[in-house]
Amino acid sequence: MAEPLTRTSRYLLAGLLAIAVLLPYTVSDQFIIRLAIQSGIFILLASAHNILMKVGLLSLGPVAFYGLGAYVSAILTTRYDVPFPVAFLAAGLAATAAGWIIGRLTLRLRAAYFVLVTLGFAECFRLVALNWIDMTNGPMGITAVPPPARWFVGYVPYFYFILMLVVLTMFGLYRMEHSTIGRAMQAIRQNELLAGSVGISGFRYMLLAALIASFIMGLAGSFYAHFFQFLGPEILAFDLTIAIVVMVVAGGRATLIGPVLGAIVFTVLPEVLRVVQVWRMAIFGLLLMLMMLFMPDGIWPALQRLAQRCFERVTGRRTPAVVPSSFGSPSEGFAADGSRPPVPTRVEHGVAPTDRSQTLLTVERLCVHFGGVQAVHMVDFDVKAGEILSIIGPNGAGKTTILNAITRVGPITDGEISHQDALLNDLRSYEVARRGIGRTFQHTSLFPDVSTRQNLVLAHNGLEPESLLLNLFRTDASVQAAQDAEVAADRILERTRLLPYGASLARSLPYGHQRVLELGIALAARPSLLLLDEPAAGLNPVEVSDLMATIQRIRHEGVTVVLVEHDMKLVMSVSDRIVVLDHGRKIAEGRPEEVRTNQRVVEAYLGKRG
Amino acid sequence: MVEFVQHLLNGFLIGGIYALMGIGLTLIFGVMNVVNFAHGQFYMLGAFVVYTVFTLAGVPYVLALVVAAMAVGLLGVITERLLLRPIRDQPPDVPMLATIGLSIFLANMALIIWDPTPKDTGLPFPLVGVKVGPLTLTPMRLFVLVAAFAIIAGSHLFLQRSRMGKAIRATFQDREAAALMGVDVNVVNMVTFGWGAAMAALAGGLLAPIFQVFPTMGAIVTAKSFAVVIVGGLGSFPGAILAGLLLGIAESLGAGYVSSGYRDAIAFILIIVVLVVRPTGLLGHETHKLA
Amino acid sequence: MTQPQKLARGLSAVVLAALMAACTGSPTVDRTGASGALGGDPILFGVIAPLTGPVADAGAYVVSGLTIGVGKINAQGGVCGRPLEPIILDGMNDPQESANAAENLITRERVPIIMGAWGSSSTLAVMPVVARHGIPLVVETSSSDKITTPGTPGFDWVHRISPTSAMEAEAMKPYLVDELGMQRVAILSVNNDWGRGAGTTFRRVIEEQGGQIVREDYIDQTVTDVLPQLTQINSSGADAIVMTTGAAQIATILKQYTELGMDQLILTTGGSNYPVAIMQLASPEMVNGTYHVMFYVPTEHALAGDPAMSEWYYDTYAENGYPEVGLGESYRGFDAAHVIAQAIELNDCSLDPESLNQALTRVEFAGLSGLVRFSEAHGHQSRPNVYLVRVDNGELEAVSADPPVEQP
Repeated sequence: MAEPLTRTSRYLLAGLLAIAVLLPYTVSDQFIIRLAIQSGIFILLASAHNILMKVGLLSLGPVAFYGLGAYVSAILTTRYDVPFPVAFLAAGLAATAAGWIIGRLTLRLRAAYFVLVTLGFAECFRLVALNWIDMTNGPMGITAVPPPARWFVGYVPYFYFILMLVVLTMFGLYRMEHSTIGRAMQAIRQNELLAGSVGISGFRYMLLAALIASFIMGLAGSFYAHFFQFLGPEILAFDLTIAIVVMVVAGGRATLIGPVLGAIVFTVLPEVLRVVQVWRMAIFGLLLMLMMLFMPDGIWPALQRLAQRCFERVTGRRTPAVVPSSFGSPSEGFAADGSRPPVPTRVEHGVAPTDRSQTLLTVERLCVHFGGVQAVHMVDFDVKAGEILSIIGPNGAGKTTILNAITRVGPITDGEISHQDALLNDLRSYEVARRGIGRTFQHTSLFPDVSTRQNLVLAHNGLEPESLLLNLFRTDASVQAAQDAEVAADRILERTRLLPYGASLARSLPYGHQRVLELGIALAARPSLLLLDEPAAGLNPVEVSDLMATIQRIRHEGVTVVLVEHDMKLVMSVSDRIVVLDHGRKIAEGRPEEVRTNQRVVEAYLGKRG
Repeated sequence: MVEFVQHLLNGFLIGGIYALMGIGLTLIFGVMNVVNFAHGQFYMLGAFVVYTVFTLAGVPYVLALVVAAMAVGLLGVITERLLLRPIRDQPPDVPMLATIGLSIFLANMALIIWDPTPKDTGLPFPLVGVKVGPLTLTPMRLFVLVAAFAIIAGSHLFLQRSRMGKAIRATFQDREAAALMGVDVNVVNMVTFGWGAAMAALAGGLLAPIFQVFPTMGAIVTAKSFAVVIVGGLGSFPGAILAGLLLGIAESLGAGYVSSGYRDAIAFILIIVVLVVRPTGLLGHETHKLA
Repeated sequence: MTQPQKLARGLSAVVLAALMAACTGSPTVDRTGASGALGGDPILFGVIAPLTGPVADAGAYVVSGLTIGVGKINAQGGVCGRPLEPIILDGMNDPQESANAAENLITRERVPIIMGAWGSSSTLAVMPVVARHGIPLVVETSSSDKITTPGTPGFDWVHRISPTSAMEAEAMKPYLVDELGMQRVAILSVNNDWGRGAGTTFRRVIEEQGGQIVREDYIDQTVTDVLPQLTQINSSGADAIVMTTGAAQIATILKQYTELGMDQLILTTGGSNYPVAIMQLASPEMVNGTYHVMFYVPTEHALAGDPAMSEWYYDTYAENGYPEVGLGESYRGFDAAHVIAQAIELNDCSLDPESLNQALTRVEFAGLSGLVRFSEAHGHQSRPNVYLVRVDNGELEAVSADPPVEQP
């Protein structure tokens, strides 16, 4: 597999690191060292906060973990004489524990509500710190917080300490981003529902993100307390939250470099703005507004775009519509020399053609009621291994509702759904996906802002090992997983004939290709049972026949298919059996010829005569 | 016992203002899906306009309130047009940060325009307590309460009866459908935001004589307004009223009986509890949980 | 890596370098030009004050007093023949900002001495910075006793003019219960170190005199609605309320006190409670009959450390067009400027910070708030005058003994 970091960028990194390490000796101005240290703290905070952004979460609570870490560390060292390394670690762990508690309570909430509830927690925490005088000294604050070690005199030791923390953190984040975990997070941010359908659990990764983020923030808080040597509840002010969020968003959310850039810019900027004294904050507010208007992606992506345009103007060459990437974004699979890994010619799959008589999926007495509406009522049917079963019916018959019930994206009011003798009712959608049940959606569902190829790489995620340790270090397992994903993606690109569009943004694809890509995504997760929700919608006749051929080929490879469709020609030609629904009830079941002539079916579609 | 009822009364009075703030915000939130962090600054600006017009220029108080509502409402409309409309399709944190920037900008411009010294507006109605049985009430506060509810009632009528009101409600329910039905969503957004700002300004103008006017008075108000919106249920008009009163009373009782220091926590604790336990709020409809 | 990526990286490096250059370049502050007429380079000293943020008004007042003080010193020949010039940075009353400002002043502006940083938390955050570099700090407003407690980082370098809450309470001890008749007292203070410090010390003093504290409430600085607290105070049977907070919040409390028709005796403390300011924000009627602990009574020149100077100050302040309400706090800046000037002269005009630190312990300045002499706490704390003042028909009337109360 190709290395995400080319030799040139490695040299550049080494150079930057050397500059950083030598900074205290090249610069005599203590003020700059101090500023650098503060930038370091903010780099940690912004990068940690960014992890949440990577899974699509905007939180206004970071100060809670930062402050908790600071207070835990300060109290342990001043009141209980705990040695610094222990207190430092305790700070991180305490923050992680808080992150876990808050995460479990709040991560299932939607966007704006999550924002506000995190704000609520942060403010409550501030008020506790302000009023629990016995523990935190309240507004009087904790003075004489000891330095990390006796020899921490002046700024230089602090500088190297924070530098070490920053390097370790950035390295960890970089490794994470290029691992299964990083790709899973990207998938969730792009399209949480789709990610669930290929086996990626949104909630679990969000919780993981919250834990990692709060741990880093707790450590940063501890550092802060021992650097400033004074700790008061002001550390928990909302202004700090804003500062962190601004750094991340203005720097470039969800990228690796963005928060670093943001942290440095917004630590230095207020100092630069001191010239204008009273106008400082007003200008800051104005800058923020302007930035959201003209650079909503952030500074880093804006710089990249600028660079791209300059490059094009200078060289006259147009690069294809590639996605602006962060510093070594999840690999697009290109080797240093531009070639791609070889695609195996043999078709691989994990499923062997099975005995047609074995039942794969059972739906018993399924009821799905929404308030007074009986969307699905007492529906029974089986799905036999290796068959193509179609579910048809007029609009509103409940077809998609059944698919949603099976994949646990939608509710079940009563009844049971079993897959290979295991009950599906209590599972979550990603767990259903991991059992080998895949699906497509009625409305186009892709990972829109990444390339076609990346869509397929992400879809492979559910099959890769998830352990954090495994992924942080370049273990054989993680390397193998990434390789497998690349190989699988290429294979599907070939099979679906989307190879020419591999590098294009998914949302820029023509509609027909998007539908094909959706199918590819579902297949990338290697399902044994595939549920297709109106795959022919909006396709022209040529595309429909391609689809027909594809479905048959899929079945030939041993995948059982359940097809929800309106296109009768398609249904009649590919199906082994058909189930007909009307107004939530099953009205017919059988082979295509039987169903076609069934009186009730005809009436349901055409209406009763007379 | 008497003091308990007095607490209830106090809470009720301040709750009316919270309700006023909440209504403006719940519609902005519901129609435009924008977390408006500058809401408290419109409150602050309303108070300053009243100070400038009523205290400095001697215009009658009620007229000053009207001027405040119109001026800040206009500012709201301009804000929507210039700042929020261009970024409407961005991910939700972008408009949110834009309103944060606006909030910082407005608060600090106020600091520069009117200096940081707190200002007293003078009293349009007496502030001396009148005993009603064992309870004490002042004409000024009574006016505030009556005015607040009059404004709320007026808004309700506006939403229910007028064409624009219907357009706003339609957009709140389903933006796409409303657009397809011929509703000009751009105009609806401008009116909604301007109207929300005007409501906040009126709240600020009504409270100005009771408290003081200073540039940083808006910050905590934003957070409390959010508490009202969430507890009452997103987009629910009666919910905002109920939640506003509830918050006022809870704060009053909490500060009186439990602890002054944690008083502000009440709003936030309510936010947390409601969102975790019953995310739709007291009277809201939409679900906001992850499936 | 693709070409555009390389270019982007290069560009960002350039941007960063430019930012750093801007930062390291020209001085980043404005100066209140007080030089001009005198020969020689100005003597610079640092000032950290809240110029923006919630207490920006207090910062503005302190700076106005400082400006008048510096102007007076320069008009009388400056310090060692050189004009004195303050470099004023915005601390925002925020610990981190103030500490950064201190660093800025010391390493970039190279000031030998600093005045600041108004709030106790900010001052406590600045102290490690001045200790690190060895720069004396003149504290003009903060009240936390930690600042002059040995063991606090930076203790060796601070010299505080303003009193601690304990000093205030001790000075008031003879009056609270015996003269004012406080028996059942409610404490209502702002929820920060200043308010809580005052609450603790006044409680102790009142209880020592046989009084009783029936209720203690700490409200956030931003709180405007205090009806709940006042209602409870009413029902607790208190006969007096001791308030420690800023003039604006006192005014708010008094308004609602009037609303509820309350009649408890009111005593305000802390030094940011200038009754004229309160009267302007509430009304003279509401403030009538209330008591206030003050360190400087602008209208009673006889009570100041130097009566003639007090009279001059009062007039000059009005001539400069500063708001009258600022008189209550601006004296802090005025006194501090003189203390700094005198220290430099006592140090034989040397600006060496270490000897300057020593010179401060020898300062004796009769200022607006009394005789400034850092004799307490190993030469780090001064004892300003503390007066009990009553407002009578819009006039301030000193209740405590005249001449000023003898400090224990």
